[in-house]
Amino acid sequence: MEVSELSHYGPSLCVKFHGDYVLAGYGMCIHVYELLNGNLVNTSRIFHRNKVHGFVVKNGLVLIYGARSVSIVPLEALFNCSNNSKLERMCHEWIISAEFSFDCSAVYLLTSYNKVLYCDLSLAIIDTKAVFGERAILYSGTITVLGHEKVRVNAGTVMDGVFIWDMFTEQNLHHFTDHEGSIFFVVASQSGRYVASCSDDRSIKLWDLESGQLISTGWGHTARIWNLQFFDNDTKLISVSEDCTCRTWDVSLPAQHLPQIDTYEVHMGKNVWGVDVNSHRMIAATSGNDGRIKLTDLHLHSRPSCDRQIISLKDITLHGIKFKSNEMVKGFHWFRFGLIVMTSEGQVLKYDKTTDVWSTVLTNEKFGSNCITAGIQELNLIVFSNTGGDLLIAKFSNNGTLLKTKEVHINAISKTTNCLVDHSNGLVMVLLQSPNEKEPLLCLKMNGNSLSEEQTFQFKRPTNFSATCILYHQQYLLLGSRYSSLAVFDTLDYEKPAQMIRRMLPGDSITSLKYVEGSTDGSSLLSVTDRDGYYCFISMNLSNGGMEVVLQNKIAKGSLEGAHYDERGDYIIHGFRSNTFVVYNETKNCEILSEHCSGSHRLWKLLPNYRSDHFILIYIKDSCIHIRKIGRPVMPQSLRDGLHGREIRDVTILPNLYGVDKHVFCSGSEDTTVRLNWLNIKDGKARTVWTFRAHTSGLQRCKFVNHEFMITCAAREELYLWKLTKRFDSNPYMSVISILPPSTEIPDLRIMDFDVKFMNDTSDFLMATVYSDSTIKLWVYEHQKKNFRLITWGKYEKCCLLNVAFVSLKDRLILMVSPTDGHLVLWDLSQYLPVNVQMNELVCTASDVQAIFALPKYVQRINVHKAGIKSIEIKVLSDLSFLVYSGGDDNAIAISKFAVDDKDSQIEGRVISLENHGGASTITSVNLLNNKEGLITASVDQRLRYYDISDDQLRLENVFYTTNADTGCLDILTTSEGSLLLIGGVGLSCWALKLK
Amino acid sequence: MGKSSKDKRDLYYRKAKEQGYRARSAFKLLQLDEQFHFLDNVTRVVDLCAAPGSWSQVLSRRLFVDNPQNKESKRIVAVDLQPMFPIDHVTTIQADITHPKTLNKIMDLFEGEKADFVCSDGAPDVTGLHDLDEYVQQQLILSALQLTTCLLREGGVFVAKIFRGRDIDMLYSQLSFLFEKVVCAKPKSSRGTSLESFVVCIGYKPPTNWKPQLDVNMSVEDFFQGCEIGRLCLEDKLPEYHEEPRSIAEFISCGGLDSFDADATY
Ligand SMILES: C[S@@+](CC[C@H](N)C(=O)[O-])C[C@H]1O[C@@H](n2cnc3c(N)ncnc32)[C@H](O)[C@@H]1O
Repeated sequence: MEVSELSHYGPSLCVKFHGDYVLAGYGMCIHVYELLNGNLVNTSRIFHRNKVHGFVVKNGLVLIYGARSVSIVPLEALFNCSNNSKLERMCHEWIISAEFSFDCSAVYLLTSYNKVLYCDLSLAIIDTKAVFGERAILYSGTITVLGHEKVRVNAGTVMDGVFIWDMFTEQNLHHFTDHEGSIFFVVASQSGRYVASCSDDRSIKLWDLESGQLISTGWGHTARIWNLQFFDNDTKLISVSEDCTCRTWDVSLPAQHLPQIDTYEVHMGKNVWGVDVNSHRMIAATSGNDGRIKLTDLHLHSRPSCDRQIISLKDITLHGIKFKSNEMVKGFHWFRFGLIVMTSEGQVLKYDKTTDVWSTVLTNEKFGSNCITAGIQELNLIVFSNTGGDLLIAKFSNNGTLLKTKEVHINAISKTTNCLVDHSNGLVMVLLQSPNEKEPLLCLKMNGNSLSEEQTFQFKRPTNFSATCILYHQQYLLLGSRYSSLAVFDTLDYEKPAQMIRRMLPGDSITSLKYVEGSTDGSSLLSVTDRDGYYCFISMNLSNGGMEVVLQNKIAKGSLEGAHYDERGDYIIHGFRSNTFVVYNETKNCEILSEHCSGSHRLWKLLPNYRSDHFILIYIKDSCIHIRKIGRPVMPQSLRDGLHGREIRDVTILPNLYGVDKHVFCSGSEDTTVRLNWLNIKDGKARTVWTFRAHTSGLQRCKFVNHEFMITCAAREELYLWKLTKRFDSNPYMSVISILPPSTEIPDLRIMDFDVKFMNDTSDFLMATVYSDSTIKLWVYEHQKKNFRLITWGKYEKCCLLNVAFVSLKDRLILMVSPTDGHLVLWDLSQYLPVNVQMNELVCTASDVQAIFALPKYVQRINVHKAGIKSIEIKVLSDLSFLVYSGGDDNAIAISKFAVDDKDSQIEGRVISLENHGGASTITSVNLLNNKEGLITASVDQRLRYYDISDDQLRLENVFYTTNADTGCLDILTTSEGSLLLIGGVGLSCWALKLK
Repeated sequence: MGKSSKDKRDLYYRKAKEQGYRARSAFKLLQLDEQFHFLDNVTRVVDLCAAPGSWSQVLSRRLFVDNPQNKESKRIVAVDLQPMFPIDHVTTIQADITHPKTLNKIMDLFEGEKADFVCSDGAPDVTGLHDLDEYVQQQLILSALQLTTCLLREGGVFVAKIFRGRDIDMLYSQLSFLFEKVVCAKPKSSRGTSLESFVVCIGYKPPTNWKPQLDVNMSVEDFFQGCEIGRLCLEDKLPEYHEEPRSIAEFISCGGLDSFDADATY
């Protein structure tokens, strides 16, 4: 068999800039990326099994260490050689840190017992250095090479603070004990004068080695800090933490409290391990448990350049414009030529962005104090509306010349408090709304170029309706409203009452409606956001109102004001986190921009800026107009995207989603999210499409149960049924369509596993769920009602149930459960349930299954393992017999055979093959493959084993090592050349298996 | 559900309260002993990483309450980084067991006599870096083993908490050089969903050609240099990568069929 790892996503422990390249330790490899375009230049294998924990580059050599491994590799070889593991050497103690000597003729290896191995470049030991009697374990440490025989060791102990010692005299210079708990990092400034350290106490301490004194302490991280680095000529410090942020600190002035400059949310889940700064470009690179390699522009909040303007009214008076004493900006809109502003006195001003000149366009006193401003960029058109029913429409040329104005007075509604504008095919639609709910919604339609052919009409205002956003698409006018409603009006038939969709999302106000695409069946896909942070995609037939929510999700935090797809197909959202405006890439789970403006209740607008993926944010703060241009960043946001930041608990592949080559898979994680990802089988690349935040507890299982349904389960009795929609081109979409009712209001049980059996050819199914308190439940799911109905309930013994499976034989339905007591336990359900099994198929309808009965005692159980059975697979052999493959916490793998006696319905079972040493640790997964002739197992010992089982005996054929710690879950895709394996744990790996 | 959710969920927690143990861990030792009977007839024991002290309580009851004879020759020494409330018949030391000085202190308390049983239930703080956490855990076990080689009588028993990770088979292999039998045991009171289990090493057989020598200037790794237990030696040239010996220990689940399962309650 040929086995090869195609891809791996997992913890990256270290990262470093090297000129215009970024080098990152990634599992057992080092990745080399080009900084400016993000291209992966090379992946070079460094160690056989250990992860790369750190490295240093000097004089064309790279000194690399990780766990008890060390290697010196020519820099060139990192760029052009895919495997350098033959250079790996082993040390008897863990290597905490390593450095080249001053002249680069030797290396120093600091081990976890506070000892330095002084080696030549062939890694022969010249000497060992240590301080007599100081042999406590270190968690961290670095070496400062200041000169030929001037070398200092900065040692961070587990129990005893920080020691700074001189390597050549082997004497302690300083012992700093102000920290509490283990020291997780300690590093010297470039000048060598200062040392910064961090510990279990979550603080950063800065020490002066000249005076031997503590200078300052920095607080801010909300969890442990793992790495620190001085940068910008020792004036600043950067820190990364378990809390997923990276923070910068000002160390240029002595202060008791270390001042924090900035915080950046850089990684997902938990733990940022590596950090480096390119001080010349002011870019930070970080790497984390999520496998992401992130670049961060450290000038983001302070770069005082062209992308930011702040204009006060006083600045504008320099252009000869006069303001009354209380005059304020009341509205604005951005156009190709610049900005149009409305003031509280009815002055309409123009700012020409090319000449930097302000001028007056017109003054109209009817508008001003209570004026609403809306605009349409594509038509260079701006609309002002006052409360009294007056409308002023102004049209400009591309270079800002006023072409036309038009004033309209509306009588049909008594007062206007909202004015929404949109356009379609050159037609402008203006919607006016009165505060009086009884009054109609007033619409004004006109030609967007000539401002003529004006037409007004009234729509009957639906009850409980208060429009908040507008979409004019084809002949339809769609209005989002408070109470999470959507109204669709037909502008060609305005007598017709609106089609209403109520309670579309859990939040209150709909903040945006966007048309995404149409499908061949005539439905339109819309993207909808609400202020409470929820968004959804709905597939709608606009002519008859038929609609389906194909995706619903909640953003990680904050409010949501709008969303769109960018050029690359990433879903970009924007909104507020308290007073900060945030633009966030929801597809990649990373922040694009955050701007401290004064909050959503003030005047603000985010508008396209006439180049693809360029935006402009305009807001009023302290009576000034702030203009912030948002362009494409000069460097990639990340060099590798990564997946979950915490353990992946389950993966499930849905093959051939769009033809034979496009596959998706879902991953469920300890971080409580479920991700829907693309899978490329050629290179094993995984790319996340959606990150769902429906669960509130860590995932237990996720499994596609047919070509469109997926089920996920977790603690707190959470079990969700999801439906995947593939009829749109932009993306696959997925939404929870039903939730299993929990047994109490505050459920605290874990649903450990489930299995389903579909009925006939319908979307109805029978489902079994098993719980951590030994409970077993059976349910019927009726798709029409989208409802789970409990039909059976019972308990096994006193132990936790880990797996459940239905086995359907010729005319029998068997339920099998595997508890923590090592048994396989069976029930013959066909004896109690009015379900009919014919040739392995359930033949019955959901309504046939009415019975609620107590689950009787099991009919049979056999003891297979000495501890919990973690994973099972089933192979039906005949109408009356089947095999069960199992892997347990006792490190064993077994094949058991069960047979049913046709006459007395007795089930007999026995173990027919047993491998007691199936792994050095828990077997977490067993999976059949190769036409059920092969079995692959995963164990926490990080090894996968392939067994030939063609004659029902376990014959070990292959063992391969995976760098995924906590190796836990597996799923397999059959390909034309063999099998593709997805292996989840702390990370995800994709392997290809080819049978020879 | 209100205030009592924790008690309701955790049967071993409740049982510990009822029986006056400071921690539910007591049942792990009791269930291990039920299987291996290593506490029958022991008189001198060391409990490493002992705080808050429920193992010491079990030991104290077994050695002094259940068997009140020959009190003078019996001895229990408990060590932890954390301070411990006193327990009858137990001498407690607050110290770091990875430090050679600590081991010297314990040795002094035994006044040249050997111990019958050494246990360690220690676990360092986890960082989330799996390989580092596993390494530090193994160093803790090696420190305990270091003391064991200096103090345990021939034929004595050593029990230590392990987490079955990537390199656990290397540890099994090393331990089997020093003991007749090495078993991986999982008591029912330890949660099945955690990787925690216990290595039970029976029948200490001190190496004949190696004399353990505690030295404050030596690390655990230095200590085992020359003791052929398959640990990597520090040569004058760092060796190339090679597989170190590994072996898988027999797995035994203990606690009897009708014991509660620690997961079931969650
Ligand atoms: C799980 S508790 C032990 C519980 C104990 N067996 C009982 O039954 O009460 C683990 C203990 O290991 C201790 N520990 C961890 N590292 C240690 C070290 N290097 N030296 C001494 N004790 C340590 C911790 O302080 C902690 O109290």
